[in-house]
Amino acid sequence: MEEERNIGKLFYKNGFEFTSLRTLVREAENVDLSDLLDRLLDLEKKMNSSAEIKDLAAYVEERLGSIEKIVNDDSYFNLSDATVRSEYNKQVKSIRDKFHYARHFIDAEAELKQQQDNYEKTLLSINQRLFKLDHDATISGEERNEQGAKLLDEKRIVVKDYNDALENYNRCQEAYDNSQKEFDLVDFRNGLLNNINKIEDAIKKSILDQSLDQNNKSKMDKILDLIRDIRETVVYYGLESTRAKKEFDDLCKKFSLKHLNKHEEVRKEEIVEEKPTLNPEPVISQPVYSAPAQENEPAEVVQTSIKDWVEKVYEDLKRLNPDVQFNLVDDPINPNFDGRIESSAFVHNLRLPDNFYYINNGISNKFSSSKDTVIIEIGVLTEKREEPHTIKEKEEHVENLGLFDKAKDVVAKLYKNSRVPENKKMRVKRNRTAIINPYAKSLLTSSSLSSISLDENNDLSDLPRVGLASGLKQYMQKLYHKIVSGTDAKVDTLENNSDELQAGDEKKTMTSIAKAASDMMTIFKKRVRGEIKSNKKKASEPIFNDSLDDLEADLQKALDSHQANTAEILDEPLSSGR
Amino acid sequence: MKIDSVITLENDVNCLLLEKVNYNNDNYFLTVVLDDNEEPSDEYIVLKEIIEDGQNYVMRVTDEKVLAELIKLFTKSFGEKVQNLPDFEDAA
Repeated sequence: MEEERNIGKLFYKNGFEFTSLRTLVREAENVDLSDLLDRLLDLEKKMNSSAEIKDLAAYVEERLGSIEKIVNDDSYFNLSDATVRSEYNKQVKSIRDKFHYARHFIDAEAELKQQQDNYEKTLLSINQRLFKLDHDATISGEERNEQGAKLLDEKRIVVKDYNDALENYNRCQEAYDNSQKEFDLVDFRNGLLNNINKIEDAIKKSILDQSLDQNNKSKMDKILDLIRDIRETVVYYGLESTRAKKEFDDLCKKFSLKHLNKHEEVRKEEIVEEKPTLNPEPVISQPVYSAPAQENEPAEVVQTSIKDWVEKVYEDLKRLNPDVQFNLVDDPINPNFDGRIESSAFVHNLRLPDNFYYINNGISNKFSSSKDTVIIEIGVLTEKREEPHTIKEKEEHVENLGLFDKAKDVVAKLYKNSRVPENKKMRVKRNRTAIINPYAKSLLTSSSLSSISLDENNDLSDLPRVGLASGLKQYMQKLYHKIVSGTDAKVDTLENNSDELQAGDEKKTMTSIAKAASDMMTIFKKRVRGEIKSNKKKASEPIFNDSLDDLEADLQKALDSHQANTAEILDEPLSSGR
Repeated sequence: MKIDSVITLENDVNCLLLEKVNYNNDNYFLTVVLDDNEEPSDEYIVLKEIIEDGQNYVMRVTDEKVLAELIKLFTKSFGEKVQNLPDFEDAA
């Protein structure tokens, strides 16, 4: 019963309440409840994470714009029947109205980004000019005042523009978020499809120029292609979410689960079990998923080393698997692991502590935790572990590793050195969120793009390699400057802002990009570890130096008419509104 | 599936999903294969997402024409991400 209570608590913690235990017991007789919970949580995520309507709005708007351009440029269209033209215009407007909040949000977002870029560029320029003014001994006091006042004005304008854009963005975001609260995906999609169908009907009845272009396509053909694109996108929009919801509802109904609203506070009291009226013997016989059991643990001990953490995991495993024997070994056989625990049960049959998951030959929490991450080798516990045998076992293990490596080589050759075979549909067993630094991710991305482009197995004759290499190099340089900003670190190949890439240089450039990404990863790791420090000054330093403050009295006259606000001038740099 | 996640395939290979693009109404992911210690290896591949009967599948993309188009899209997306990276101190 203790185990049942734990799985019940796990369901409750994740927002599911058993409304009829009898139904649950009957339906779950041959079902692993932990798998069921995983499935429900996965479906819940899919239900709630369908593509943002903003993305759909942008896509539809682009295609609608193209349709309008063809129609507006066609002088024959105005010869069409008035009702046809009116219907076409009405349906186009109806589609745009559906995306009203999304469109405004998209526009506000673009405007904010532009104002932010403008602010940063202008601020940099102002600072440079102020510096020059302060160090220019040749200009007169009057001219310095005048120039200083102009720069202050310039700054105030960009600050105001940015603040206005930010306010508008926040307003549009709120309106957009509110519009999503009552959003019904099915109604929305059906409404859009109805609009699209009516536009298609109107276009087919209209008069258009029938001449063919160089691709033998008439304007009618082009418009119908665009309509088809929109229709297909709308049809598939949110489909995964709809399917997930259906399956989710079916499962809840089948197992008699009530899905609690996420905003409801989860009760902390015990689950109230239905009074048994039938056979009191436990019916659920399948193993129970690992329980958190935090309430039974002693006060948390701060883990100060990896060894301590491995020991803690060892203790947790023993507690969660009382029928299994464990042995904590001093050193792992494979030096890439942090520790080794031997178990009398197969690793995949073990209940694991929170946030741990199975990997090859062990367990890990590397991608599911942001601290105290550890990879532990799980070996087979042998009963006789006397000293003289230990060395022999290790030798055997090393020999086995040798065979294993050979086997890996053979497999690698079969798969052309890739562990993911070509042209084979592979099931995704598990999907978990990774905690990854955005800079590390960008470096991996750049490596991947250069690597795939250089791969001789890929005959990418359609790839515009010169343009790609040139573009990638520019992005790498931007990334590079951000990584080394404020430090003395350098990667020579990226220091050179050289001229345009010539045809034939692209392979060399890609190779150097791949190398540069590796060098930058080294710098990145050193910065994270504190081995390379930043010598940047804090952003809160005032823009104006003392010499300008000395001119404050003189400037005040010039600024009076502008009703300058000194506090505003000394504000810290603006933060992003996102 | 979404980016910044690790998927485990049926042959126990782990892949970190770096970038995602949509091409011809299919989702494609730029990924790096992880080694046994869950560190990125030197193997980078492009995976196509397939959903059947509520189950996720992936297939490695080898068609050159499709790969060429995807590289262009991934590069563009990468450029936009680099542009919007926060200051290093804020990201670390």
